[in-house]
Amino acid sequence: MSARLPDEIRPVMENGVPVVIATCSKDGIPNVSIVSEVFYVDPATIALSFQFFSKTIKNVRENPRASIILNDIPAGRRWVLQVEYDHSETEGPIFDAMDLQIEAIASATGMAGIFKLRSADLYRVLGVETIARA
Amino acid sequence: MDYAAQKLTREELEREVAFLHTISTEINSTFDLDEICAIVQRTMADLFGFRHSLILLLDEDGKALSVVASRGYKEACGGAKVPIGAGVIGLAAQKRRILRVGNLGRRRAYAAAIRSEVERSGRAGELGEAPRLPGLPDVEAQIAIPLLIRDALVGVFSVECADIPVFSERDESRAGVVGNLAASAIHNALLYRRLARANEGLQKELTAARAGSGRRVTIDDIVGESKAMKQAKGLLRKVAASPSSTVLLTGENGTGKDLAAKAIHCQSDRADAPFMNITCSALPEALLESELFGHEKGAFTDARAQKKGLLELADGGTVFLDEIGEMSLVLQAKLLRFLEEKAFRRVGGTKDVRVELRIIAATNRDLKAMVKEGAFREDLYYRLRVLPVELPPLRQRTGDLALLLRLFLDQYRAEFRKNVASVSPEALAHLGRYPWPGNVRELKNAVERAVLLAEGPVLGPEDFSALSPSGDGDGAVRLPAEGLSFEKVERELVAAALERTSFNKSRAARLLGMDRDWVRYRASKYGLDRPSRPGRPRE
Repeated sequence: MSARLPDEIRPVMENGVPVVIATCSKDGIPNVSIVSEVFYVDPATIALSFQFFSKTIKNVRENPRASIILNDIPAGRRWVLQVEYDHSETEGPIFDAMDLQIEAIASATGMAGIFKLRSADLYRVLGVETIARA
Repeated sequence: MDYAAQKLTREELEREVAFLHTISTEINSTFDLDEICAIVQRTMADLFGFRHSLILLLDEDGKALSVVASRGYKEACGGAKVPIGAGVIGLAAQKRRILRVGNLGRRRAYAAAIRSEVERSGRAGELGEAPRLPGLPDVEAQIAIPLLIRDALVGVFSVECADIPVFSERDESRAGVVGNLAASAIHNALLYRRLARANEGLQKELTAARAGSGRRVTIDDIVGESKAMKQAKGLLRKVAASPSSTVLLTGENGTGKDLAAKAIHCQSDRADAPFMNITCSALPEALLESELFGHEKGAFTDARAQKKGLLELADGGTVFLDEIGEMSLVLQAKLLRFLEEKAFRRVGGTKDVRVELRIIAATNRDLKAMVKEGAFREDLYYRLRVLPVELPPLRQRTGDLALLLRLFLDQYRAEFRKNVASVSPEALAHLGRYPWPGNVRELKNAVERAVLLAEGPVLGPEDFSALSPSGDGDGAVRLPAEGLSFEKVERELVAAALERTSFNKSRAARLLGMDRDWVRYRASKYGLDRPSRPGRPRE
């Protein structure tokens, strides 16, 4: 199972913070966390920054399925992505681009040295749907 | 804002092209840095609504950026500093990459939450203070574009917004294009400003040179009312007024040939153009050639850049070649070619440089005799002596002694702050009997020494005791019955020669019939340095 991300979701990824991610441990215990950065890699792949949320990364490494909610504020709707953890990168162009973006945000918010990218976690997109905001 | 449209419609494309045309035309219409910054910021505001923007330039030490232009801010940001690496602007400069960030209000709130978590966990020490940087306090979105020329950082162009959460990718592209245009325009403006400042400095130097290294001298300033001097001054006036391109000044050492050369220049219609002088005996042949004619880059090992010579720098004015008799035959040939053709080539050059100027040559040597000996080119000799002027030795114009004494006395009394008012009649008579082999220069040195050592207001014969009226006598050296110290005699001879020639070792050597190295060695051995004067800083 796989899905393609539509073009219109790209600005939502830039604009849609905070993003909510729901994961589940191998024992079936769910976890919901807030993610500050979602990066568009290609129409079938997104990347999340691994900075603080250790339970999320622990869960997806045990049980790779996750759900992500993006808020499309100007359009008044939400995007729900079904994704599957694929692998993590600690170097290379995707990591470098994410690292620079996080460093820029850290500089802009006085958090230089605190916001630091440990790895870029890549997820395959399994499904995309929109729902109207409640 | 239309976030989805990444492909341009025809209308949008036309608008983008029109925008590029507008900004590139305007930005290239000036070399003024302030104007370029204003054009960039105004265009970005008018065309795309980027109402808040900053232009920062890299400081000379490369450690920070300084705001040189700001638009749309309530408070002026001019001069505000952003350290390299600090904030989005500092980071864009450090990484040499365009940075686009948005949603900064929410991110600040998120950062504040993280910050309080960190503080609550007792790790507050890990948190740094957020630097205070110029820009909107409630900025939501920002694009920072490093201004690069090749890979060298010139500065940063930053646009900000407080009323939309993010700038689009197209905004980033537009700002990037403007950044590229601005980078080269600003780089050119900075180069232009540097050249303009250098030019201003050179203009000042030129003005100073044209002013005759401080002040203008006229022929009337040459002191002397004796018949011999009146004749010489009359001739100098005619020479100054003539259009002749060459003048030859002859006369013994110390007769004032350099002063006469300057006076000719200042009284001629070339007075507003440069006056350059050089002593031919002071430099080795190769260096003299380079000084006179200049050199091209790479002409020799140390020629790292092209250099103009005195002939080129003095275009329209006068070049004074002192001690022309010491010039090598090779350089004499080059000088002759210049006098004949008004053209020369820089050392290592292949193209002729044409200038129009007057050459005043001077010598204390008998050039005619040198021509016979083959030491001076006959053709150059005749080319130079179109207008010869001989300056009389002081012994032929002792009537001028009183005037010259008054001149030098006033000069050194003021310089040394000594209360010396006059010279006694006995001293004047004593000086009148002295043959003055070193001429006016020797008189000047004698007055300087006398004023410096004087203990009363009137200089008497004893203050000039070093000057023996018998002069050189019959020239015979007598060995006293009790013998003598040869070293002492040698020391005194070298000291006398140096003093007579104002410590010019080449001329002192000629007086003694020795070479320059012989004099240099003994001057060093006997500690015969030029005396320092009170109140003058040592160089």
